[in-house]
Amino acid sequence: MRKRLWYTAPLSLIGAAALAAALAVTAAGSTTAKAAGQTLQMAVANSDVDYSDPALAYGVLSWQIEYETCAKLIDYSDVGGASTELSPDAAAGMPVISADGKTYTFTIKPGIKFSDGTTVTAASFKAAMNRDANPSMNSPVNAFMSDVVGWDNVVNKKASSISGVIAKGNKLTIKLTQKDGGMLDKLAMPFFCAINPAKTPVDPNGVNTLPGAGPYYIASRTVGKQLVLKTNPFYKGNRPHRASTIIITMNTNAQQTFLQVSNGTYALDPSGLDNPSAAAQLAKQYGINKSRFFVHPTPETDYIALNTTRGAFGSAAVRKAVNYAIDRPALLRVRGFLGGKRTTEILPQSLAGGVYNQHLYPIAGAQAAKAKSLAGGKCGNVNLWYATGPVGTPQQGILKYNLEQMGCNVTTKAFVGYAIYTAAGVKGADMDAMFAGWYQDYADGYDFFHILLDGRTIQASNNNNLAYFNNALVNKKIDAANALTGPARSRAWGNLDIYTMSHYAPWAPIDNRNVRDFVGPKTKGYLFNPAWGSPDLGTLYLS
Amino acid sequence: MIRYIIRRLIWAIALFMTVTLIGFVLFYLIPADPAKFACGRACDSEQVAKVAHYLGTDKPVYVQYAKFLGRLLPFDFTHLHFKSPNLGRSFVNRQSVNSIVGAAAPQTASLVFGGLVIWMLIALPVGILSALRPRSLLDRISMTGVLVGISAHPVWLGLIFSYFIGYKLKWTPIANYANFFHPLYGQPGGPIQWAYHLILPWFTFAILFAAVYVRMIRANVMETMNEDYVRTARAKGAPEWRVMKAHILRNALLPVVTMLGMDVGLALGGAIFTENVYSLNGLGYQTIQSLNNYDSPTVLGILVFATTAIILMNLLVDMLYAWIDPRIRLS
Repeated sequence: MRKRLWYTAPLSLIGAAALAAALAVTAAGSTTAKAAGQTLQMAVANSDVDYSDPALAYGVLSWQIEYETCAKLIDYSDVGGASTELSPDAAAGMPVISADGKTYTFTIKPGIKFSDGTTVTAASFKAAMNRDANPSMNSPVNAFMSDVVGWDNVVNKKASSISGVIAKGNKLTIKLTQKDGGMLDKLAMPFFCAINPAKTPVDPNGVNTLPGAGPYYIASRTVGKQLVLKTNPFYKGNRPHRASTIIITMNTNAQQTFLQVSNGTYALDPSGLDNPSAAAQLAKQYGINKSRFFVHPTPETDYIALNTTRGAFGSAAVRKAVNYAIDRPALLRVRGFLGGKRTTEILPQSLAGGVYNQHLYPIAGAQAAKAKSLAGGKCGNVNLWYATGPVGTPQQGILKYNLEQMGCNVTTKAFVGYAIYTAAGVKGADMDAMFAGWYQDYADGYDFFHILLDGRTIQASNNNNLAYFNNALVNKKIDAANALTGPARSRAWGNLDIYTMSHYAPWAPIDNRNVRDFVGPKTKGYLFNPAWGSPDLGTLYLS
Repeated sequence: MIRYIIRRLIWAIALFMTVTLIGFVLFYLIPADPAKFACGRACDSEQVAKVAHYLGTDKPVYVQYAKFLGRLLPFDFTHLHFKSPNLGRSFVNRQSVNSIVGAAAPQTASLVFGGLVIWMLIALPVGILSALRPRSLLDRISMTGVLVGISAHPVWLGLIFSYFIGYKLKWTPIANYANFFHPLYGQPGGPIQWAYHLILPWFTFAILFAAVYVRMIRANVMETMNEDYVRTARAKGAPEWRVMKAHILRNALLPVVTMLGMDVGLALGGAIFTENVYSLNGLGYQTIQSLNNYDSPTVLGILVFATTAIILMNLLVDMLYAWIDPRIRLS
């Protein structure tokens, strides 16, 4: 017996030793940051950055990191306070734009250096663009840059370098095939970070660490677990970089992260408070935008896409009726306290050029009787698609009830995750209405109208125009707005928004989501950048 | 014995093929295009097609499965050389699945084997003592504990433990993992911190299993105590400790070995709830994340690891069982 139960003895010993050792340690040795104003510990609940490579990174969180590590030609600077206006970053000034609007010439500031000591030149930006367009990289940026002369030739392996991007000394010239009033906003995307090509090779899988020319650089990344930012020792600019090191632990549990921010282990969850039920208590305890709890609108719109090509919502009158029928307060309430702001418009406030809050449709609740009268009994059968989850599932229940009140006969279909977009993106799908959301890629109305509502982009599959809305007049107005620049451009998008919603109502907009941030007891310096839709990590420090 | 092992190995390979094939087909049936996700939401069909070609998802499912199996083989038949088995790359972040599984497995193993020690330290004495004194106060208390242990969900237990013990009392960390060998930058590490950070996860993980095993050991011991050979041993005047060791425990604990092998193998595939609640980025947590993102290479990589672990543990238990119990060998 002694021989055959041999395994119990060592197992017991190992267990006892591990327990004894563990219990001997005091709480002081936990993951508490030794911050003292220098090192900030942060945690991201249930997520990691998709990539830390600027050519591949394409998410709110990864761009938050890139904003700290990148030197771009132009940016939405928050030096001296948050701003939604573009200003030069690595460029000495705003570009010189040719009279036909098709050539942009930037002059690069002298003396900007990467974290490895090499100098940022016009060639650093050209290298970044060539790397972005390299077919091996399969970068998401290709969807935005076909207006640049020679870009698609590189993507299609017909050339190795973009002919329309010319670097000469400290001058960078970008040539376009046609006028694009949104080009500057596009160039503010982190895809166009300056790179040191010697240390940022073309790698289809992306690089995890690379020299940065912003106030920080990515010192290390353990995928799925941790990302470390350190200050660029050669950075001489005025962008905020208060903490010398920012350690971000990835993929933590939301409830535990909340507790760890509460007790100061972590300064912040950069992806926002992933605990909606706590928002009301935090607002009561700390106030809003005062000390530890911050709420700001994001450049995002949640909406119900109404399929304009199918029976139920083929009629503009019925689509307008849906905008009267839906209970926006109830739909928004599902997102928790301060989850967003109700809207009846397509564009979020930051993109609408001051033409916002027009309240084209009821914002305070459903008007079922008016909706029913507007629909005139023409609604019929509706196939409502939704993605299951703590938001999607209750929202479909509310919408189903609202639509039934206006006389529709609703059948629901559930999807998991992004499968709904794949299915709904196939032209001819038997979807009449579906919940969707869009977060800006760059701060311009074209990013909403061209991608989501321009009928000329409709294809056999992979559609983003989920309303399958194709109106010649609206398409023409999109082109007209896209030819404008500056404040006139923003206003044009805002006006087009009102025009589209009041005449055709291809969507039933619900809300513009808020980001709710909760910071640690000693965390100071919180500054939200409205153009990015996220806080600037470089302004944070520990008191 | 060798024939027995060969037979088991053939079964193991068949099981492995079946599980991976089902996993592969299930992902193929889901109407979600990973290329669309990987390309970025603004991509048009042409751009999505290019990414699908890069990912290999534009090929028929049997071609994809054949390539998957080919990567797993340790020999390259095209270039005729040995190679390391390769689980492919994640669709979501293009990282090597070998490295994803390699980074997650130690966290799961730490949780499972540490938890195993604790659950056996609880289950063995409590189960045996309860069986020796049925319907005593100790037995009633332990059976009540068993009921609570089986009923309490690990997520609930984890949240309660971390809130009261970690957050309120500050006796242990609230969550997170400390690496045994190579701590992450700015994070605690080493054997002591490793164990310190795992105290709550170990107990959370162990409570359910301890409850199940207490009940099982108690029932087995009580049943064995009524066997004829135990009565005979006592009638022959054998001392009670000898009866207990050589006749009762020896037989009563045989099924426990079988159960241990199965449970540990299964848990190595991912102790999903405990990992999730304590921010341990183990295989269970990775599985959830990958399923949410339809990241089939990572899910299949974890499936391969879990299947292999279960098969190996079962094989080990079978061999151990044959070694412990002469009747198995003879049959």
